[in-house]
Amino acid sequence: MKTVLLVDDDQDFVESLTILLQDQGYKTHTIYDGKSAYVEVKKTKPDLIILDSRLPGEPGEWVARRLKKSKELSRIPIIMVSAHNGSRKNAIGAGADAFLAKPFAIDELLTLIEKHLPN
Amino acid sequence: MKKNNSEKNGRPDKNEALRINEKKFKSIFRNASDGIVVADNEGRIVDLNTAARTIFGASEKKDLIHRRLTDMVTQESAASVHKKWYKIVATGMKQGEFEVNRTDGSNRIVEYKATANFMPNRHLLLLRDITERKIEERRQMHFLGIASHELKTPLASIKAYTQLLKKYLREGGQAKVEEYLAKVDDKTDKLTTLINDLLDITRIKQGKLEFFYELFDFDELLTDVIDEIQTAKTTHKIIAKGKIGKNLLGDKNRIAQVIANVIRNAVKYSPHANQVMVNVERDGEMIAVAVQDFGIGISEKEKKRIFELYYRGTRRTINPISGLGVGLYIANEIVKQHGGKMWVDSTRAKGSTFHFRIPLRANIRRKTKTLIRKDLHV
Repeated sequence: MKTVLLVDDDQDFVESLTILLQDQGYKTHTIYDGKSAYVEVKKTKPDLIILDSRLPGEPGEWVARRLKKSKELSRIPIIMVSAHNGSRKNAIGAGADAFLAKPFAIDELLTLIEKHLPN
Repeated sequence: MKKNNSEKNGRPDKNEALRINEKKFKSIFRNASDGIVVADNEGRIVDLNTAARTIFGASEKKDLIHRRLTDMVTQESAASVHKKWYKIVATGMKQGEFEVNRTDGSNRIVEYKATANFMPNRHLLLLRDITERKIEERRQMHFLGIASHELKTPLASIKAYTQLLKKYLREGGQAKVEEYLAKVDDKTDKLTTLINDLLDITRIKQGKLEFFYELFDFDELLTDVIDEIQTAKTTHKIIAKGKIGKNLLGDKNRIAQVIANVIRNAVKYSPHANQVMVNVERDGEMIAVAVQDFGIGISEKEKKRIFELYYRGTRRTINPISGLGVGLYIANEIVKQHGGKMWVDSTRAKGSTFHFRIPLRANIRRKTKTLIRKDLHV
């Protein structure tokens, strides 16, 4: 079973996403702030990360940049999501593998997850 | 009596006409509200008017004569001004912007229109200080970014919930369907509030915020507002003290909006506290409301700006703060329109108390578009 880490501070959003992802057979866990995201990734080594750009503590872009610099963690695909239109460029610039603008349809996210998950 | 030439032939003589013309141009030059600069081929100032001197922030004209334009703009502008200057001289008219670096260290954004060779080897620059306009444009752009983010955040949840609802409808999860429909309902209310706030600030800016004045029981309204917030927010206990005991003349919904705004702010900016105090008292013909929180507080610097449009609490302590940054601006405007006053007492890291006082009988401002119920004799 593949593991997906959700990093987003909007609890309602995370809750519904969790159910939808679990329904598709993914194991999920959640982090609500940017600061503890890096440590969590290092500890749990998820197969994929869904990362919001606007987070308490540390912006998602910083988290992505730190992860992509790390030798052992850079291979984990990151899908950045944001309610900010202008975030796509920053997300890709920070090393994210894909970007999805909020609000999005779950199918769009599932397609991206399948595309980026290592086999 | 000797008649002069002009009266003899009915036309002013040539010298006289030149003098009048020169006087006219000098007067225009001196009094123009736009800055006028005459510069030579190398972009050195030959002459300038008072408005231009003000733009450059110099107290004396002589301080600017013979100085190069490139020396008076910011480093970022200098390269482009230098390059453009030779283009202006060579090709004729041009327009653009540069940023002036004043002697006092402040910067002004200036729009220019240049006319090359209006006299041999002399070039004319018309300057207009557009700093305020630019700042307003930047603020508006920044606000648009925040507004779209705030509107999309609940939409992202609604979209996810509808997909969940489809799943549960397929699987027959009745309880779940009800739970998520309630959440969709809640998010829709949030969106409605956001859109109403956006409409309110537009109306305030146009002076078209409408009021509907009626007599109502303030104590009852306060209880209703607190109950509504308390149902949704379980993190803080909202404790109310005091009574007015008399009907208030004002816009009931707008007053409710003010109360709800200060209480919601108190909760939002005190994430580690567990209560909010609401004190109400009658002071002669005024009612006084104080909402106290035990949160992050407001610095002296912030206090001055807190009722400004688009201002949001600093992000250092709680990050990120959500909201449009318009709530207190609207609340303050409503209180003012009721003939009242709003202010804040605060200590950093101890908490804030927001106060507002409004007359029991609002002195209704004439300027405002006001609807008064016909059965009220005021």
